[in-house]
Amino acid sequence: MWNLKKKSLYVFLMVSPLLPVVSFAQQGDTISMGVITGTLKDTLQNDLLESATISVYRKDNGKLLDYQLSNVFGKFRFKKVPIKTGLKIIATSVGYQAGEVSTQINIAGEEINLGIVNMSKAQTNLKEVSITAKPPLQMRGDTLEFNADAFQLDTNAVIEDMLRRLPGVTVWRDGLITVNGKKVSRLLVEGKEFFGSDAKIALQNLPKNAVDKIQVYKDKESKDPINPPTEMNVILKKDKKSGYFGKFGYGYGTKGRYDSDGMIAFFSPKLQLSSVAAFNNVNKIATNTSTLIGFSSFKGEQIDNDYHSDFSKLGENKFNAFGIKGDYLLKKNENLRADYFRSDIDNNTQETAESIYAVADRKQISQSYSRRSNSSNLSSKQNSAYSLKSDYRDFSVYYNLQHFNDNSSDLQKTNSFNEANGERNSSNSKYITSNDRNELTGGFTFNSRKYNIAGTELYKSIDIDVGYNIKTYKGTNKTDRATDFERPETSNQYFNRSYISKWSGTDQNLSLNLPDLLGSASTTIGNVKVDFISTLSLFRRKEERVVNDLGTLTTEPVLNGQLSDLFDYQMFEGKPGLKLSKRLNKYLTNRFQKIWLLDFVIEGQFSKQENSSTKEFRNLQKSYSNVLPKVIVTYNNDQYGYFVKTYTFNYQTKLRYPTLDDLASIVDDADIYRLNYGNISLKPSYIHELLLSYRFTQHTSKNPFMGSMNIRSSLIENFISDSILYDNLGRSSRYPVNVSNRNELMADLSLDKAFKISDSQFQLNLNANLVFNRTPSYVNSQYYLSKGRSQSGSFELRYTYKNMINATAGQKLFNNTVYQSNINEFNFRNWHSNFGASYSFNKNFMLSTMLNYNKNISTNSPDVSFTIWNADLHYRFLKGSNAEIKFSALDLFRQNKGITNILTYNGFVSRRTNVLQQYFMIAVAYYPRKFGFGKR
Amino acid sequence: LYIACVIFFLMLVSVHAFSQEIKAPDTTQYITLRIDPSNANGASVSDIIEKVKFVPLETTAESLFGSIIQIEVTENEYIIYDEDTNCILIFNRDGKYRAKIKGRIGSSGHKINKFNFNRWNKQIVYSNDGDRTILYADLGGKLVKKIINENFSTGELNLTNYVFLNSTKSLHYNRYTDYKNLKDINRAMLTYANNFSRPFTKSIAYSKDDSKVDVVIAGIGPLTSFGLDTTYFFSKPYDYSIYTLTPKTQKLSYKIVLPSTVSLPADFSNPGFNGGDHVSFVDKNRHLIFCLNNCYQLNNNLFFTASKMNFYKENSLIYNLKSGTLIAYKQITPDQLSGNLPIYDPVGVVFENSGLAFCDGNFVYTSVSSLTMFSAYAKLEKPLKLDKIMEEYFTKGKKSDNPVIVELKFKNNF
Repeated sequence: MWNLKKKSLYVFLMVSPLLPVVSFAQQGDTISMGVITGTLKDTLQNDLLESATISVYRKDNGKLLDYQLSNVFGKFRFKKVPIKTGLKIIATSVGYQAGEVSTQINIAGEEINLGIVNMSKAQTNLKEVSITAKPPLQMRGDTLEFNADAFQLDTNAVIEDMLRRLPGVTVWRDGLITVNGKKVSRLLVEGKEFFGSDAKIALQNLPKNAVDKIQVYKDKESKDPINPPTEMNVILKKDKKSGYFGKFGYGYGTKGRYDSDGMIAFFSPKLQLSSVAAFNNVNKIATNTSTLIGFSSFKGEQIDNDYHSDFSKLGENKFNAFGIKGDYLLKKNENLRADYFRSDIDNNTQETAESIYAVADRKQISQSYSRRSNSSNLSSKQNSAYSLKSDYRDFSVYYNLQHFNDNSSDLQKTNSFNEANGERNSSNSKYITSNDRNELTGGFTFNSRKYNIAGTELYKSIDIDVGYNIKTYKGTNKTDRATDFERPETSNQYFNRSYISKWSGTDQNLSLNLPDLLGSASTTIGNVKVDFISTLSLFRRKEERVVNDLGTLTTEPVLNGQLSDLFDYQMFEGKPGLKLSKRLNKYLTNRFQKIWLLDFVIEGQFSKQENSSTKEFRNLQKSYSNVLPKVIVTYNNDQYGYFVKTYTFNYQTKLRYPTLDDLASIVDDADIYRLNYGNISLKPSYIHELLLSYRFTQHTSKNPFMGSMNIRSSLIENFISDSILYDNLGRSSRYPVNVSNRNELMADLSLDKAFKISDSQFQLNLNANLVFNRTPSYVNSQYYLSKGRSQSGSFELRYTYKNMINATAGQKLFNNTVYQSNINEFNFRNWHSNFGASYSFNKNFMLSTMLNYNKNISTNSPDVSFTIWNADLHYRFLKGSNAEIKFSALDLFRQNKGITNILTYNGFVSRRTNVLQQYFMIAVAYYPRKFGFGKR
Repeated sequence: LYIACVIFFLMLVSVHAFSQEIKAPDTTQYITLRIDPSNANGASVSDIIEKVKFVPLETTAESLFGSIIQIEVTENEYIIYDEDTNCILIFNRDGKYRAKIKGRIGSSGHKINKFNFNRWNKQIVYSNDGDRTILYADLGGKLVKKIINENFSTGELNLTNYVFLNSTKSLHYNRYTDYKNLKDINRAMLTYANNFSRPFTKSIAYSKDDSKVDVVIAGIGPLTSFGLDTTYFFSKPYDYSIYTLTPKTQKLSYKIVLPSTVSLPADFSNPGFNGGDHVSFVDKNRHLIFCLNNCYQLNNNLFFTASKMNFYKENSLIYNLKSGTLIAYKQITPDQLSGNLPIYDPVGVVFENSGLAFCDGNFVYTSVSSLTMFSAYAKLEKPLKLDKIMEEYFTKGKKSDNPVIVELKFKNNF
């Protein structure tokens, strides 16, 4: 027998978080308002209608003023209805004909009781009933539905514009959507992802007018039926299930700046196909097709400026890219997808850097460095995957083919000064590098779950998770390098070398998990679930390095036997383990549910490193074995309708092995200022990590609040640190050494609050971050303990008024300090303030501006401050506002600077790099859009 | 020879005693009721109910519980099973907490799940280990007896759903089972037994093939008592039929005909239907009524729940046999008679699981959570005309308190 309770409990959990949505008013002036009440009743059958939708419209123009669901007694009450306005009140409920009443309130504060509003059953006993007006929202079983046609928005409006109007729905600044405080984990269109997992593509491209309804529900297929994630599904109108959208744009600016992109995306119930291309020299760079599609979003009512030049990107960049992506539904639950992306980035960088390194007795070595570099990076990626899903089994097989070709030329100059002995020297280097790599990755995953034959205690199938992944790669690298080391009054050093490397390799990973080994026998050990988990990995890399000393133009190249090498490196790693899980659940019906999850994982790690080389000292064989325990404790407290609090304690251990070069490095004496040696006696680092986290989510339809706090701590035994020896000339020799303990403590806090006041919405975000670390090292054989500390804090306030005004203001502070055994102290601080605003004069004309102020304060460097001010003017025209002309003025103050500060445990580096600066651009774009090919 | 004849005669008697035939129920006279739940009416409380009484159950640290899954009402007590805390709680009829029996989840992992009350010896009968051991407690919650269930592994006598006929005799509903040693002669849906060990009468036979039919049931049933001495209702799974059972008779009383759009297919009870997987069919066709449960009769009123996998508002029905009026319980609107307070709890699943949970021949009983009570109270226009008990409840209580028992006396004619 099967008791109904389990099923019904599940239904309740689905429905309960969605229930608080009952009323949403679009009017705010309470002075000239009245009240309308009434009761919905099927008088024929004497039934009161609960959860029916009552909507108040203006009679003259049909504008929706307010709506709500009737209560359990069929009653409704609108508290803010405009007076002296003809009103039409329409009540709808599934299975009933719409009820309609007209009325008008003449005196402010007057309450009109409509009495019993009769509802008649529809003649057809069908789920879908033809009604004269669709209700804005309704409960259909366990699903909350918003009907798009009930919301009157601009004809250009997209789904995102509609979501901003829905009661209980908040679209957060980072794109996250919450419904009554519950995070929406996935946004689907017609039950599947829309051009990838980025919800923005659907939100900002699909017109609201193509949408039939938006459903919000709990994911019934979730692996966690107790607390399943919330999903949002967009159902398109019957005649809008297919369509295309895209963008073709070109912009030309001062100083030869250009920016053009094109995208076209087609969708149908079975196929999603998109193609995209971009060419620019204004730092708009993407690494995959989906990001480029996102850049070309239409955006509807709220034209936004999130696709701006990245002014923080270093150097001058030219970007050309092309991508094509397809997703085809072969059968129900059987899917095939393919993606191709090719990009070419030309970069020109000019960089200067000032470095200070503490050596001993408060003495320092200072180095100045300059570099000019040109590089060209060409990459192409193609991948494809087939997936098959059934109720209890998932299977997918995939491949990924990548090709990279990078060419660069660098000119570097370094001047060094040693404070201890007054020694000065310099070096000049020239590099010409070409690199070509190919990678092919393939694999499969298979998951199966045993399942209960309903109503019986019998099971079918087995629990197993298997995954296999193989990556094969090969590549060549050719570098010509000339280095000239100059030292006053002594003989100089000169290197002119050619380096050629050829490598190939294979990485393989196999994972096998057998969940719930004991099955029903787990009751004998206190319902502790036991999973077997295991991974096997094998890495193999063969490489030939040929180094020739080129000497002068007249001499023949000579093979450098010290730097040339042929090696075959293999590493095997096996990690079998057991995971013990215990779940404790406490609940009181209609009040709370508290869940404790206890996971204890014990894993063995067995590994073997082996290298055979033409260099005797690089022939090595090492074996390691360790036990890696892990403990995770989670406590979830869900107080129905109020809040959810989650606490997590996570302790885990990991190993980090020394690399081949850590153990036996080939030292290139041309690396004048940094000779990297190996240390054959290095041991692996053993890492202990501890995480404590707390999350709070308020489940209310109005003014949601979310907060989280995390504290992470790590302790690394046998940390692989550096022992650095500086010579009189400021040149360093670095030896990796094991040091006793490295500690790190990190804490972060994040708070998000949204509140709506009439048509205004505010979103406030606060963030704070703290990091402390202690790193032991040796400098000139002397032990130092470097203590690092960084703090950052930020807040951002975002304000929107209808879709007319959009403003943000934020402040960020970052402070970073390193103390070296209380002898040296290096510090830098960064202030960042931003203010942005946009104003839509009408649906076609918008002005936006953004101001970013940066200030850098650092040890031994003068303060640097700069402001980046951007402004844009958009104008949209043609039918459907499909064409756009935009004038942009960027970095109006011409102040952008590329400042990078790096603190090491014994020094400080401050870099200045050329960056994109002021330009003006005029751009035109056309958005071809069609949704629905058939007749309506 | 005489002795030999006597022995032979005794042998014949003993064979007969151990292989008594399975009685077919009397199906010669029954009433056919054509009922369309979608056409059930609503009503105001005072239209169909004579008396409403609310009894808030006392909330203390000791008496706090989740919801009422099962309730038995005696002259002086409410006996309640709460699955959340796995306790049987005993309250006085004024709502004051008296005692509780705490369930112990042993190695078998079973909760108490249900209890039976033997009104002849005033004992609460329950099990902590999935009916392997039968425990007896008094109305003070004290354990008085413990016996081993000898029939646990035979499949002949099932303790999942049974009723008492007197202090020792009981009547059991046996689901379709196919235990290894179960003989055809013992395959009966209804079994009368003495002290849980000696079956003496059987009714409604099923075949070995039938034993493959997996049954899903809901709510209270298939055996239900409705306060008429030793007369009980039995609702045959997947059959929409209600039988009346007494210690001596088994009779088909009501055959309910439902609209074809919500009825199970005619051949649904065949063992081979849907490849033998009946439950999956019901689960996938959630609009079909798969079970009649919570069946009671009070004078002219026949109460029953027509369960679907889908939630719907017309599942709990009251059919007036005299007038033919069909009322959906969930559609009864509170009015002055109930102090405008709800008599149905729409929040959660308590009503879906237990509905009108008990009938003592005079009143029917259900419960409303404090969450719903306080929510309704907050929306009502004040002042209200409430009795002292409810006034105190709303003044001193809170929405996380124990549920409120609702006692309803229905009108005989409406």
